[in-house]
Amino acid sequence: MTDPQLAELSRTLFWPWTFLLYAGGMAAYFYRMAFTQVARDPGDRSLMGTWVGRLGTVLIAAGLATHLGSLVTRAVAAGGREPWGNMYEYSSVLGFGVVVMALLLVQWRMRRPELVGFLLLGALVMMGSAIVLYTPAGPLMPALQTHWMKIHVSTMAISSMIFIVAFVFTGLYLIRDLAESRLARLQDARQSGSTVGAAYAPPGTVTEESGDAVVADREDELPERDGTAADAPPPGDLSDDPRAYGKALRQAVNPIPVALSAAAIALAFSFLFRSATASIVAPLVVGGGVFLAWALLPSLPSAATLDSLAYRTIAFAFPILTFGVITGAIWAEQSWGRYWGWDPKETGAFLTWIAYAGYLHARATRGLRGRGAAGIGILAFLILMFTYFAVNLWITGLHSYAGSGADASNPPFVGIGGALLLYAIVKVVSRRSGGDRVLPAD
Amino acid sequence: MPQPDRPVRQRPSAIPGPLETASLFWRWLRRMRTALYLLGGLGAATLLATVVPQEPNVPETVENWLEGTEGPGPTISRFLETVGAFDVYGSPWFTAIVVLLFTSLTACLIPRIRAFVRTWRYGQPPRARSFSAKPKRAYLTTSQDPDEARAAAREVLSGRRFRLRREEDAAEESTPMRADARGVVVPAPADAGDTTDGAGGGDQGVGAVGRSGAGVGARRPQVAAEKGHLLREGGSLAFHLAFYVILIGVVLGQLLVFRGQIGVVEGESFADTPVSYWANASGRWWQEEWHRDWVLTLDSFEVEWTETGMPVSFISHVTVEFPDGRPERVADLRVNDPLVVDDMKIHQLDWGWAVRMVVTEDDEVVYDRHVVLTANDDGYWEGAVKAPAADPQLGLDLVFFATAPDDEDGRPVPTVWPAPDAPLLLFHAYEGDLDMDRVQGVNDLETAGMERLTTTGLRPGFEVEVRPGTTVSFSELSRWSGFQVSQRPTDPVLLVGSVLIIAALFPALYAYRRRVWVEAERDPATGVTRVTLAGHAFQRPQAFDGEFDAIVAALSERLAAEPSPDPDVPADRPEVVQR
Repeated sequence: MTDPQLAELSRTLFWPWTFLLYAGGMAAYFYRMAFTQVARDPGDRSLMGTWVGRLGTVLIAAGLATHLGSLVTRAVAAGGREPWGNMYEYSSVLGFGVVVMALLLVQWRMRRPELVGFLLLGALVMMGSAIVLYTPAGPLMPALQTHWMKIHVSTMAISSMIFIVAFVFTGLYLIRDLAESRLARLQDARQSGSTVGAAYAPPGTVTEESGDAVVADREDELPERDGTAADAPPPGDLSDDPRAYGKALRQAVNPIPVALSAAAIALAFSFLFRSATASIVAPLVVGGGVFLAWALLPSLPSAATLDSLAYRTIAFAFPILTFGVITGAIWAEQSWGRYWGWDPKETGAFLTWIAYAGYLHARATRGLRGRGAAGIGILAFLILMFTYFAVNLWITGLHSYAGSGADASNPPFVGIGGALLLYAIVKVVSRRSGGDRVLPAD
Repeated sequence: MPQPDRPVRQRPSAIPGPLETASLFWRWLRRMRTALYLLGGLGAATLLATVVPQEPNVPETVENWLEGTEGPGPTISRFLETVGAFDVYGSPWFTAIVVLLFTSLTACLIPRIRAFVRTWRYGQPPRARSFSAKPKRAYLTTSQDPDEARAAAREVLSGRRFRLRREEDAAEESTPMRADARGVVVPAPADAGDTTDGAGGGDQGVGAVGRSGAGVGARRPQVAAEKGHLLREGGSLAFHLAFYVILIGVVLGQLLVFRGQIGVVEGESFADTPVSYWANASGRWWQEEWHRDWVLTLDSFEVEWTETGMPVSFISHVTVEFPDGRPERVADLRVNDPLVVDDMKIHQLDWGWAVRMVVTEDDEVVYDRHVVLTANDDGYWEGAVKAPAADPQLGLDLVFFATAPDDEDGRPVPTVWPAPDAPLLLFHAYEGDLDMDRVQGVNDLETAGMERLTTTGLRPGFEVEVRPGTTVSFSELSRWSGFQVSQRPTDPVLLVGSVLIIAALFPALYAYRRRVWVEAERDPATGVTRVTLAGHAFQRPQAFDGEFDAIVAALSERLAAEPSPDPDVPADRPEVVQR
């Protein structure tokens, strides 16, 4: 086969085949979850023990096969180079990595198949951006022809795909935590004032994974979470009936404002694509994802579990990101004769690094862990996406070759995006200043 | 946006004096939240620098913003200029953020380092007051006596590189170890200064058996052990200290750096001397006599394109000669593959076309030079010829197309195709005053005092008469290669700092602090010894689960012990049997 035919095959394998297989697998997972009204014990494989669950796994595995085929044919068609030389390829690789992690790590190793559907959603959004940013196969420009390209870009890709996974965990944590804390408050309000505190963890109780002690600031809003009971519903009226607890969790949250605000952020972000399709699809998908997470609240892991999953995922990716930034500096020294020049991409990487470092520090700070830290985690991911999409598409810098030729400058949308980011920062900061620390009415 | 200081709030009526203010400021700097605000400030500054064009990088864009032809308009641009937004990294407030951040880091690290050293030297794992509050517990029965059981536990734990509490401390209640009282149940938070209250120390391998508790309360002999704290805290400290290494490297680099740019036409040379560079920037401590005076000749420059017009390779073939008689060096310079000459790095940075222009006036050559052409955004090349020796002075405004094939009528059609398939040079010719006394760009022709003679085009090897007696010939097409020559002796410092950052991140994130306690007691009724183990991990409890089980198994094997149920828990809730 000639190269153009191979490239065309690669493109077809990617869209529609891989895309549809993943989407089908995701639908199967969500379908199966919709009938699981109870959070599972870790290690319980019942979710996959049905034909729909198995079908989902098979579809995803088949999707991975076609995706791998697409990446390999693309690499060959582009002259035998690594398939992450432009945004189309990079987005595709990110999606591939997320799905691999979803299947191998999250489902098989961690035994959390209930999270796989949401991870697939994340992967599909990333791959959707690849479809929008399609670039014909071709060789790399001279600046990219070096081993540093393989090392630096693949390191960045690996850390980014782990951050996508962490972002899904963080988002799910925020929704579940919102539901859990509201429900706990509702239950408190129902009970007499004198029992306040009865259902809460004693000082020094250790949360499941993070192991950090529950500190005093959180005691007034969190139900008990200790190592052995992290996946069990908190004690109280509903603890005997997990089904009723799940239902109550859903009733505690109004999904519409939550989904709308998430969709608004996605809308602001999708303008960076300068594509009407993206601006319609992205908010719908993100808002829909939030809505789905709400609908499937009962079968999600507990907030404490999700929080520590997110923390561990970010703690895993952070050294990789650090290594990526350092190799980038070394490459810049090789290529341009300076290790750091505050080029927009470098600045973006620096910002991302700072934001995730901030997340890790916030986790160790009283009054910021929990939702405050999660807010910083979300913000860090938005910065990562900003660094990836925005810097490539509308800021001209030395890294511009990574772009797809979309023309630049979109000031009003920059304003909207900036305003939303600012809003998110203010929100995070004001949250920790005590606004959210609602004490039970006495 | 900093929070109001808590100490101030506590004493609302008192107006703090200067010393108190300094101490309050210091305490404010020590807070983790302050550090996070400063990090956020640094992030916001760099974000600003991403969105607003930066003068040192793209001065033309900044000029366009100020003129209002680009960006948000002149009013906002003037405001941005006032606050230094066009040169964020050179602005005083950016320096202030960095200085504050490092001051805050120092303020956080000093007490942590002191506590770390104290723990390292004197620290003792605290006793457990109550085993039932620990998340991990295990119970064994053995026929060996309690002293032997504890000795075995100490051996098992020290074999696993736990730090053990000194055995005589078991009886010394008065030893001022704060962690004894509070560190047990409520683990110290990771905030600076609080982490290391006497925890984690203990000399290994001292003694074996504890004494029964005389003194305050009934102190049973207990084995207390801890692991992972020094590694985790040490990793965290090393990670943060690495930033001082980076800072030193960056600051020294700024002072000692030399960077110069030069373009060399094929067949020509340049020498590493202070005056030969097109542009150079050097640090305050760079000495001009540090130039090495070697001479670089560009023998040829190769560039290849794909069928789609994308460049695939740039290679400069160069020869370097040394004034001190060392043998010359022949080398190929590629993007990503710099040449190192006497500690100076030469990077392939840029390239372009050079046209050799000859101006003859009445058979006398008044101008013969390679004109270096620079790329224009629209895919063609620009340059200028200034011939002050001509009379009257002659100026040419050049535009070059690498490919401009003739159409059917024989008229050249310019394209943006990069390869030189049908080179065409177009120019306006002017005569008059070149105004050479004024400083002007090499490729900018000042035509205010000049009169246009003609506009014409030339293929390579052709000549044209622009006015009676004066001919312009395009005698040769060649290429020039742009090099950056740089020397930054501090790069190894940065590399060391980076390696330290990475190396320290792993223990800082993944090492985990855990404690294990063992008690052994003979049951007077049955005569067997009951051994109780308790464990607690401050981080990563799952990783500790397996480790605790392994410790229990190892101890059990040494004592030939049997597992036994938790005496404090009714038999129908066997949750204490650990997984």
